[in-house]
Amino acid sequence: MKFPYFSALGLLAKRLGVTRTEWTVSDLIDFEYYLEGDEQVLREQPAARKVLAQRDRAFHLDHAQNAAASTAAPHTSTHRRTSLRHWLTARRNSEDPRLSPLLPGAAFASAQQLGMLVLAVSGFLIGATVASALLSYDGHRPIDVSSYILLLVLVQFLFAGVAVWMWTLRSLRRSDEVRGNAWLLMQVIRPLLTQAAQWLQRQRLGRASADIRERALATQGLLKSQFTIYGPVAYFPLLIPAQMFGVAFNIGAIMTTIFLELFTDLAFGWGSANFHPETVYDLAQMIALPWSGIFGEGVGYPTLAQITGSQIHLEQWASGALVFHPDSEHLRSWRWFLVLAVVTYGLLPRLILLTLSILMERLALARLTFTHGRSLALYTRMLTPILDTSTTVMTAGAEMPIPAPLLPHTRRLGLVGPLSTKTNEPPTNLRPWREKTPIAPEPIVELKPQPVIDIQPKPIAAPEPAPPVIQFEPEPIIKIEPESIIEQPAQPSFIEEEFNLPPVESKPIVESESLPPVIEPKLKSVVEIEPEPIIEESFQPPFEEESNLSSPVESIIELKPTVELKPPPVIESKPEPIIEIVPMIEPEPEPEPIIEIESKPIEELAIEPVIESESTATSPAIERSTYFAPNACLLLIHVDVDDVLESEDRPRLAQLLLQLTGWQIGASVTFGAGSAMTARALDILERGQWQELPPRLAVIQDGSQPPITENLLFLRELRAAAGVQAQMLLALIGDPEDDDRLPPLRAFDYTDWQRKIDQMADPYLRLEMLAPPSNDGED
Amino acid sequence: MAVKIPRLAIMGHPNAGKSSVVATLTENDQVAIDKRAGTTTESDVYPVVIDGVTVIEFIDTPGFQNPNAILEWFQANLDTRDLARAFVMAHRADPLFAHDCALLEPVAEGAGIILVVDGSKRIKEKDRVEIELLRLTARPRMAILNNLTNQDRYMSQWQDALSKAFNSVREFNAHRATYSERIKLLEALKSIDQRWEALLENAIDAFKKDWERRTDQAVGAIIDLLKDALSYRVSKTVKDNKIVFKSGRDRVKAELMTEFENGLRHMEIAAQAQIRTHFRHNVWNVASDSILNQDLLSNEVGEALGLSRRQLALVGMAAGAASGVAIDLATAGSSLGSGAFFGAAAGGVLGMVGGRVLAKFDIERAPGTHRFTVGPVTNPRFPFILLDRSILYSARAMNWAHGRQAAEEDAPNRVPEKVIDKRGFTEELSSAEQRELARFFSAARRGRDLEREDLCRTVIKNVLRGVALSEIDSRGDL
Repeated sequence: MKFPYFSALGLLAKRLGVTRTEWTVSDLIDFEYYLEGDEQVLREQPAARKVLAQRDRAFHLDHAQNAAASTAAPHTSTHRRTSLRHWLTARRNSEDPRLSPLLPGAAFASAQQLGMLVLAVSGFLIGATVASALLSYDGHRPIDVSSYILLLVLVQFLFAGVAVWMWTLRSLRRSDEVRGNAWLLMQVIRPLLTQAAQWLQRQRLGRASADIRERALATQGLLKSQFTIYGPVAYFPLLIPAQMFGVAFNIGAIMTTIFLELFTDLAFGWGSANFHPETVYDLAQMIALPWSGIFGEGVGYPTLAQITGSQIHLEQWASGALVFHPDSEHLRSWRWFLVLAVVTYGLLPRLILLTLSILMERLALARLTFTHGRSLALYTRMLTPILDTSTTVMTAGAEMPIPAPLLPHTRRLGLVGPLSTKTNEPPTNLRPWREKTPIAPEPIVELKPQPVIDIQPKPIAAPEPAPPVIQFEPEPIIKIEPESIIEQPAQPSFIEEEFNLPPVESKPIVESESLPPVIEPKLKSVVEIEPEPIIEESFQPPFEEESNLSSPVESIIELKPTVELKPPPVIESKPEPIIEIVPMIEPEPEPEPIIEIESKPIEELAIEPVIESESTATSPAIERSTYFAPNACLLLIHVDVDDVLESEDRPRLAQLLLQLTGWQIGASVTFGAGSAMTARALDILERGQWQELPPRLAVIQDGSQPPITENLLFLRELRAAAGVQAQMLLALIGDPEDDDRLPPLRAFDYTDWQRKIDQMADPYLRLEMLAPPSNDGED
Repeated sequence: MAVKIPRLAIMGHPNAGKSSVVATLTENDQVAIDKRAGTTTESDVYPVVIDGVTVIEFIDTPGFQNPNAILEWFQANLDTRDLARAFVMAHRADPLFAHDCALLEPVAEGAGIILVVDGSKRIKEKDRVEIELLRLTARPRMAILNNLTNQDRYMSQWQDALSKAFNSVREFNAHRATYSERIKLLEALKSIDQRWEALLENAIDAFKKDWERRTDQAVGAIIDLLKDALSYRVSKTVKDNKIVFKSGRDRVKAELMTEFENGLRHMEIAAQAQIRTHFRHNVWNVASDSILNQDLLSNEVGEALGLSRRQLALVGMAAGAASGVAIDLATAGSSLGSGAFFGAAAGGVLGMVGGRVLAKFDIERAPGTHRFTVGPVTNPRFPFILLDRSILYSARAMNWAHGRQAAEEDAPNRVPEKVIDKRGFTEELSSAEQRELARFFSAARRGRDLEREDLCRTVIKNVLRGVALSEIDSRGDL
């Protein structure tokens, strides 16, 4: 047997796109069925969580969001109900259409239909049977009204009363009593329905394909297990068929009664010795109270006379029918009373109960909060945006670029100077932080502020100091010039840059705009032809042009301090070279003359210690630039290292270097803070006088930071400047600590550097750790 | 979409921990993090996609290779309107600047900047250069002080240097960042460009909800584990002739007990795997001395977790379940001729938790056979221990930053572990909550339909939430 109209209705609704937002019991069953299925999947493969989340979120976004968002805010029970209902619809729609009538919900609904029908039919039949049995009239003895009333009215009424009482009781005491009170429903009707549902499913499965059959069979158990989860909601589907049975029973009884009354001749009577007709009349009147307004005495209920007339006296019947002739009207007077009594006390309460059950079911369904664990999990899945931080597996990109070797005696213009060819706009304060952190020894500290301070006040005093400068210059400068002349062309950009600087930094000099052109000649003259007469010449033009006066003057003034300072450096061999160079870079704004002048004397001074240590043959005067003894090297210290080094570390640095290479420090220079500094370093290298070729370079770098192109490029530049065979050492130190500013490098970082240095394929470049690695636990 | 989605380029020089930050922010431990320098050599985009719509993009950039040159170029071209774009345009062809172009490209295209610096190191020249050149790009920017160590002497210097050039500066340990810290960091991103506020809000909300869901799932996994473990039983039918001798009987018991215990262990492992998946961990390593690496039924675990004896007694009495447990215990003792059982127990830790019998042991006699059954768990301590361990595991999963995979646990300056506080999570619950749990456990033991489940769910969820928000110590040391 099957109920095509039900599934047809469902299909119709589906096709019309009717999205019901009300829940029915079969919806709940399907809902639970799907939840259980999802749960199963999750249990078996937790990885499916993502798929489920995506599916549910998609359902939510597709269907629920528009409809639900308009009615209620998320996390309210209304929203939850509607959203979940939409979800269910979506799930059902995504189901194989052949399977949809086999869903447990549909099966249950069909079963309920079937059950109701069976109950109704049987109720009707039983009612009819009971009524006809009670109304069997043989034409002799009238039908006993009291038994009819007792069975069809009183008993039924009592049943209804008990049902109401239990309901009330249940609603008062809630949950715990349900099971006990609903015994009949739970133990009789529920298994019945379940059986029916299973039977139905089996009937349909007979025609279904194997896999659908398998799936559907697997769900059968669910019907039973999920039945009680929704409390009262699970109870009503059972109650309603029960009420249906009651209604049908009454209808059967009433229709039979009416039928018999209309088409057969029935005589009603009552017989009791204990009751006086008046009592019976009172009783009847009382019973008829509900309808006495419509159907009054004589119609709705018999009159006293009729009652008296319909009393059955056993002796009369016994003695013989002919003697006693009761009024047939009196005997018939009960008939409508009986019908009305059954209608009022049998049918009506049942109808009320049925309506109530249906209403209560609706109410219970409407009150469902869907807060049990599984549905909440689903709801959360629906509401939670899918957060995807896509797990693309990274493809390894190109390795860090290793700069190619540069041609000897060339420089990468791009990196040495500003990368652009623009010259008119000077870079503003290149490295403000550099000025603020004077880490070099004291003399430098004095030196640095001077140029800055001097620039502004001294323009006025300018003319006078000039002569002394000239006096000082001769010794060192004369020797230096030739070299500088040779090398100057190599650094055009450098010069340009420095020209650009003065106007910006020394703003007090209003004449800044006119300066560059003026200075250029000066510079060249100073740099290239530095002998005294030339210097004087160079000074003269400024004298003529007052505006330009100031800058040359400053330079001259500054010379004094530097010159004064020089003597001490001679005594302290190592610190000074560094000291001298550092200031040079910072006061870049100053006009070149100073810088050029300063650097050269310094270099010479730097030579002196070396010379002292090796050969006292004082050749500085003869040497044009830094002189490197056969075992002396040019030490290049990265600013990061230089910044943290303190005076007592320098001897140690020298010592470590000596241990590592056997080299003395011929001169030292910093690098790493900009192209100007690099240019300076290269300059010194190129001007170096190497007693023994090839040149020796020691580069000290903080190896705790991984190598970058910039570092390698610097090495390439050094190589280009120093020549292919120059011995280069790259000595790495670890991250400076407080107690040890030249700590050993961690092996891990070392290999990192090594890998890159190896790639440079420079056979004369050696990579070492400056300090020997600590013996404990090196990996 | 009116507003362009926030794109954030994570910058910094090699090895500053950029990739760790991205991994942690996006909870993606598939981000390749290598201890070697310059691992990230291309700008990899890590979008945060909500319901198929990208709301934020994090771009993991390679490190600067030529910061000095870039700065000087910038300084020489200050009048150029869009420095980053101009630089990229000018140097695209130069292989030496390949990385620099790659990392400036997103900036040129309008991405905001998150500079990641290693706060444990002193500020180097390169750092200053990078700070300055990023300042010159004039993009919305934020700095993250990634400090993986407890070396904080340079932190204030960094703060000073960074705050001059960045809209906001945040400290963030990519290896220890918890959920709440991550959310705070995302919140901070709002401040660097106001136009992003709505979208970021959206993303944060999604992150929060996602987190909520995960917590729920973890709680669900824990509850299921408890239910399964507490109603677990193992039985075996043995023919009479196999157990004529006591030794045979003992062997059967021992086997059964082992099977039972292993069953419990497997359940826990399965649940842990679930929890781990929920929190998106593909890579996972727990310190070898962690209590999570100890055997579930070992004494160490029993001592470290669960309720104290006193609490247990109180809870047991109040829950009314204790009577049942007591009877179970009594029968467990008697039904198997106590001597043998305790003999076995004394031989090892088998079957004992916190000094008490783990589970009920039953023998049913049938003609010709004996049916041995172990389970369900009767030990009143065990469920608390199991719960504690699950919470501990979840806490670890929640607070295990995704960028931590490459963390060098043996690095010299790592954060020292806290003083060990050997207290379980359940021990700190209120006694009402403990009672509630105990009731739930006793219901679970009997395999009842569990009305207490929801309450317990709430209790456990509150603990996990507390852990996530750092209100409850996550016991990272256990």
